[in-house]
Amino acid sequence: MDGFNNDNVETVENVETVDSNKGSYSETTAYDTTYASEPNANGSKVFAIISLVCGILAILCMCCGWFGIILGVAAVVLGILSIKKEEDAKGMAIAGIVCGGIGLLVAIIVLVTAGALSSMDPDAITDYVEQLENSL
Amino acid sequence: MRSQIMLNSLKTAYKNKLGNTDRILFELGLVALGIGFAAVLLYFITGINVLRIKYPCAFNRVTHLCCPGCGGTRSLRALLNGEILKSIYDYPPLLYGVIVYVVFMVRCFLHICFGVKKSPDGAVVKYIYIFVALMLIQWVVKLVAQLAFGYYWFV
Repeated sequence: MDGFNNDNVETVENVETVDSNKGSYSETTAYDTTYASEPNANGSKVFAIISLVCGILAILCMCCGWFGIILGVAAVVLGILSIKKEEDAKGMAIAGIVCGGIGLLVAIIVLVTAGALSSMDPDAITDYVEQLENSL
Repeated sequence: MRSQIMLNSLKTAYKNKLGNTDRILFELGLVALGIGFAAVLLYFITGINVLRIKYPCAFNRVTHLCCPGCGGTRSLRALLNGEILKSIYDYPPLLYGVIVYVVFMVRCFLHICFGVKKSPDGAVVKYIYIFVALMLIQWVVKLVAQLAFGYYWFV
């Protein structure tokens, strides 16, 4: 107590008390919003991989009409989502979009051409459906 | 209790040892394996051989040309019968794809269960790109053979 020197003690006046909860809440929400809109940087490539696989299947199944169209659309949509959300997977996403696009385009051409041909030769579609039923 | 502990440790090892890309591809590979088993089961229970179903190709019916998948089923049937050369002739990317698939799945399985060293995460993706390139190249070759030389791959 003898060594205690009152001159070194600072008296603090008019301390502003920060509402830590309010401050931290607003900071947290701002941080979360920013983080949520950033691309996924943890290396996850789910959309890109599924887009690539759907694109390959769309090319293989382009002769199956609607199945090829569905796979092609899935590949393109997932590829676009992957480019927006997954930073590390642009190459795979672009490959998926290209493959899906090729499958989709050819499947649409086949369906349109088949529709046009059926209007000229109605028996052709009947024969095709019969062959399909017989195969199953 | 012990089996539950072993199962949990296997799950943890599975999640930690495989990278994100390899884990997704491994799971897709397991789904494909499941489909194969289901087809085998269907054959033994009902006698239906899915490889014998001759699904008419709409692309071929409309354009009278080969589609990129033409010959795939024939090639798989030939491969299962042990006719490697016929399998390569009918659809060359199939044998390549089967080899890549088997090697990838076996290496992942050994890595998860026994810690055997494997290639880095995502290294298999370049082999998938090669498969796509082979698929498109063989399609172009078949189209050129048919249009330019009148050679029909499948009589």
